[in-house]
Amino acid sequence: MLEKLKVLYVDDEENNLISFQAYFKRQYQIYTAKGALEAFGLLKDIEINIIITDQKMPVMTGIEFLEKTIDIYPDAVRLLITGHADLDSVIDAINRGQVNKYVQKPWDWEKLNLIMENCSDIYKSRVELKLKNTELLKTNDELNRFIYSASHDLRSPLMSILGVVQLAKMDDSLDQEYFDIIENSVLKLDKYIRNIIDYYQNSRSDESLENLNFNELLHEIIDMLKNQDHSIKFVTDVKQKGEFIGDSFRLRVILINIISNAIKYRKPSSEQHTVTVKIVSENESVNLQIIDSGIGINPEHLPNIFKMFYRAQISNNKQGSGIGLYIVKESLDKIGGTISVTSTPHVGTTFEIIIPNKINP
Amino acid sequence: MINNLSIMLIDDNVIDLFLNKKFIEAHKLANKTTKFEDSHEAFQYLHSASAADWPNLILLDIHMPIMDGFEFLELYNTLPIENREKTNIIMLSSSILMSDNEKVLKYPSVIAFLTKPLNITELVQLLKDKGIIKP
Repeated sequence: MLEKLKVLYVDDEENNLISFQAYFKRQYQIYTAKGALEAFGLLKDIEINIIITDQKMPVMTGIEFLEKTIDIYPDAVRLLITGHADLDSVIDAINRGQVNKYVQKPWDWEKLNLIMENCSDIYKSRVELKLKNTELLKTNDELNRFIYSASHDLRSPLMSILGVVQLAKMDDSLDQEYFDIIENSVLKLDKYIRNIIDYYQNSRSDESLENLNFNELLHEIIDMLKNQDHSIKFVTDVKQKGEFIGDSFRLRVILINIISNAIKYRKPSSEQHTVTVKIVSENESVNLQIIDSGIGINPEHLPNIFKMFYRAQISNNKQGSGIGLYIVKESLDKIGGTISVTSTPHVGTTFEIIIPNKINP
Repeated sequence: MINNLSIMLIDDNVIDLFLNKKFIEAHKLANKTTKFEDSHEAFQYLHSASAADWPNLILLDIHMPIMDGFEFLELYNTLPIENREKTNIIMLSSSILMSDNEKVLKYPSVIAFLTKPLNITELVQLLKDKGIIKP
């Protein structure tokens, strides 16, 4: 059984204290005090959950007393009992959050009982909320640590393997085919780890704005990605009118994901695979189009491609991790951008992205 | 091309130390390569070494037990400025967190942040760009 809630009742009229205790002692653990001073003595030793006081007392008023208890037990529920018509000060105290409930004298026992139950509920939900908050903080903290170790502890041995493979590839006397296979698998696993970290960094950090040069940014990304497949033809068309202020980290994540998909989902036939990137940056916003001549996306998959862990069923070796486009969407949401996609199976896919220029406050 | 570089490698991971030394040797990037598994020992070495024995380049890992890369940089900053002036530090870590990257670039001795595995072509290009080796 749950422990009874601890209730303190402060009133200079002793009769009230006695009757209150008699009525409520079965449901609550009752403490009483004849004045504020005696009450503070009690509060020092006992953690009270519900504090009730009469408004009209010598030394200090009930409201003044309740106000001083906030620092001691911020979670306690405070109830004021008034016999007089000084409603203005009571309303003021309730509005300022110093008093949660008030009861008029003389009280009706049943009504008072209901109010007490109400106070108990308030107290219990406050405690529960606090508990949930602590749990949430803990989960968040664990997630932080997981991401940190994913970034380091998972990547570190993987990068050692990659280093050994690259070293072995420099030795012509060894059969290179095996090392290519190992290298590809390691790079695939590393990409997945990088994706997880990108997602985390996107969800955590605020926008960091800087002046962007789309031509530079795009060619830097293409230079990096063209190593995936040297037979691909890249066509770029960048028109930048004036300055563009945006988040370079997120823009990079978005472009890398979309362009590497455009590279990856090529047709198995030997026909020339082309990836076209058109960027038009203007004062209001930038429009980015990534067009590929690849396998296309089946119309039934289109509505789902931005969902987490959604994978369109394609041939096995083209299977994605299901997180890339989700990160793209999340990143765009953070910077106020939009994305749309049109695709025809066996012809190709076009992604169109619009991101507002933050030069306009 | 043989470069007259002396390179110090600091990394708790022995495999990476071995690999990075191999890469440097294969590209004849340095005529002297010293390896330290323990960043504290590396610091002790620098502390007692004469200016002539200081490396031109230090490749420094971030995540290490006992003393991590950030702590090493703090201690390093207490060494004589005339020795530090001729030495450049490049961070080499498997961390790809932006926060780690931003944190180390605040140190004046650190000229770059590279992620593992060491891409030797990238390193050579970087050293050329910074005028540390001849183009």
